[in-house]
Amino acid sequence: MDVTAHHEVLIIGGGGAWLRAAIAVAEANPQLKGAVVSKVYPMRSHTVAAEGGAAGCIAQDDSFDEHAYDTISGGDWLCDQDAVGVFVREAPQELLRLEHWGCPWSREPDGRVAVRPFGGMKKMRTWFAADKTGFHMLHTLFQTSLRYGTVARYDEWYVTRLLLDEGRVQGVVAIELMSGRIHALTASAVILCTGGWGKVYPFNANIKTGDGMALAYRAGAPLKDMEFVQYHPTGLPFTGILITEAARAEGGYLVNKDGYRYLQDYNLGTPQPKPVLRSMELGPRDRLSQAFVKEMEKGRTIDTPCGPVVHLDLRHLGEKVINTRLPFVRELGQKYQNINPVWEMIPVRPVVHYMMGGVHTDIHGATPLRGLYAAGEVACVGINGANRLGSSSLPELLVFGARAGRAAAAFARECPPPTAAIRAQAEDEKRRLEQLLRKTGGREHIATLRTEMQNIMEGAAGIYRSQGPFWRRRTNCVSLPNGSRTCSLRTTAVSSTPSWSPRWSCPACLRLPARLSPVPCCAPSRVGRTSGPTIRSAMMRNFSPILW
Amino acid sequence: MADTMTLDVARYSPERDVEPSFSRYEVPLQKEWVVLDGLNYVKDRIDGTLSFRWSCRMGVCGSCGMLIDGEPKLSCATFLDYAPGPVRVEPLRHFPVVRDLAIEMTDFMNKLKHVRPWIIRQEERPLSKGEFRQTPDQLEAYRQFSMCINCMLCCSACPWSGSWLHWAGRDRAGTALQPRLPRPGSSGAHGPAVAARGHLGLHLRGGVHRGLPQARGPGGRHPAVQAQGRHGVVQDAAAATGGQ
Repeated sequence: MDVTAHHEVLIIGGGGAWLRAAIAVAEANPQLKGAVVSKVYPMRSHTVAAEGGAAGCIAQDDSFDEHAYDTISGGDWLCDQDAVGVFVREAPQELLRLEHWGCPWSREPDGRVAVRPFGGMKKMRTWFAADKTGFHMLHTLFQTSLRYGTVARYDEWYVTRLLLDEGRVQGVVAIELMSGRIHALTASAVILCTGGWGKVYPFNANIKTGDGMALAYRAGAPLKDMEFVQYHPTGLPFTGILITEAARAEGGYLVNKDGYRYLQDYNLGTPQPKPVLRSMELGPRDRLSQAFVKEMEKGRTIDTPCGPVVHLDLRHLGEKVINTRLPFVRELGQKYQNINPVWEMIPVRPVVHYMMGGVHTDIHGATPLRGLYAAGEVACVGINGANRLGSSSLPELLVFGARAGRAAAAFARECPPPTAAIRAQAEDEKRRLEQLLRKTGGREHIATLRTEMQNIMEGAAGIYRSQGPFWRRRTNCVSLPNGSRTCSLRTTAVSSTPSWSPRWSCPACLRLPARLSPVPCCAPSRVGRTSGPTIRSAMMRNFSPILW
Repeated sequence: MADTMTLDVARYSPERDVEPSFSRYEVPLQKEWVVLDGLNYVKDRIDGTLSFRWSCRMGVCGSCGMLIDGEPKLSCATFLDYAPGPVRVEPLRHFPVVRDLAIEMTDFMNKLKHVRPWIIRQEERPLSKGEFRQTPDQLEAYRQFSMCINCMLCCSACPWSGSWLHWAGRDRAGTALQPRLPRPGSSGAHGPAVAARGHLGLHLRGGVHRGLPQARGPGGRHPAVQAQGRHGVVQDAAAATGGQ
């Protein structure tokens, strides 16, 4: 199989981490040929959906030590403390660099960058660009990246395999979605910046299908801390769109179907008319999510076509407060839930938010596989431990995106050319893909299998990890990847063409197995974790530890 | 509210069809459902060959722009309740169609760099000197220029974008990017992007408004448009993209 192109550094992914890594590669060595392969255009990746902000200590009364302490204690003492040290020192520099590139950070009256408080932080250190921080960061990075002519882009190409020989990652095979052609790209170093895998659960993060973790896993790179999955307590029930913590900080109440502020029953304080820090609705995210499950078990949640919900009540705040302090909440309610929070209660439920685990890397973004680097949510450097603090993910992708870019550029300079076996491997992969894409007559339906996977994960490896339900469904869970092999690409209904055609169409048949790969890693480890304290921030077992 | 809604979806497969046709699908109608949910229902349950782009489903990634009953809209931000239906769903106009509802935007992406959308400063400043000062008022004046999500709805609404094909490509990049041009501390050094704004200013307001039935613009009276201030033009462009 002919190699379409060779690049010294090849980055897989489409969001903030690749953009920062690509710029770092171009700045480290302008002669180096870098390229990016992404299944979406850069503006479409999930970084764009981040709302809250990015932590970096710049306030007079703040220090690196305090930021590190908050991060480590927030992560339930399971963070890699050396990595946290690097992170807190480099985060303000990276955020400032973004300001120089034009990111419209919100400002203090005197013109300095403003910071605001955030959950788990004892000091104000969260930089924000109104309530669309991720959007502004992504567009600033993307438009800045266009300065560097040396970075080629393969937009809307979907990578299906890492090519590995002599223990070194040397390239990828990818499908060009627009033409349907299958390409081999070789590289001296590959950086994964593909985000998390929230979509193995039913809600939220639609684009995060775990592709990068699956690629790494199949190539033999270890995945770490896969049991730590963060839930956000207030998402819209159907879409999973998050209603920011600020709605509760302004005084919103969480009530059950009787209009009762049920959090008082879960050791979260006594209800007051005004919000009290770290009490009731402002308690930790994981405790609020757990209380929801208990209410559901007691039958005190509200049943809707989209599942059980509780209500977030903002009505007592009045239209003026909602319009001035929570305009985006009102907009989201109206645009996506078809309700007006001024007069109606917002239905909410906990939704999956962030994966602390990922491909194991060191503080330079290097994985144990030579030539393979990772940064962003796909990676697990170890700064988030058992529970990521709000506003850590955006600076993480900047700090470790840049570090991975520099390390990969240095590695690529010393690296010998790709070995001959790579071509043969690419040929094998091409044959496998062609067979898969032409296959007909399968018994399974992709959407059914996907829903089954999501229900298993939510039901048995969700907020509470239940051994009973998990054992009952473990067989299905582990056999899901096998099921996906019998998926037919020919759909059951009216269509006269296969569900994947040689021209543009999303290869759901390829994404599904990718998504399934981490399931056998996460689910058993999430249910089976027995070491350390019984309760970890982002995971909660409701059975006694048994080794299995 | 009825239980179902009928979607008339434009289908086009380049290896099979000479021209687009419409397929009719019946999808469930729920209060929370947007047009995109209807399309996903079709893709998952009825016809897996239907092709369209989507990503964030919260109106900020710009992937899912389509013509919905003839108007360019984000399908994730348009409720399905078009009683009594059916709802007509087509790809954005003024773009080549790759397949079904997916448009070809390579041209836009290739030309993006020609407007040099990054900051060009008269003098760079090292990071050690800290941030460029910018008051909240200055930021507010600039905010509207930073909100473009590259959803292409304005290009689809603009009749000029379709008719002036010879230079529409380059200008298209200018149109969609225009709201993002000035940046803090950039001292007005915007290079060729500002030059592009010159001839865009002649037609943008009237054109985009005429493309959007609900907008009440001056309807393409060029001299009047010419007299508009720069901000007026850009504000209207932002409004035309649904205030994104």
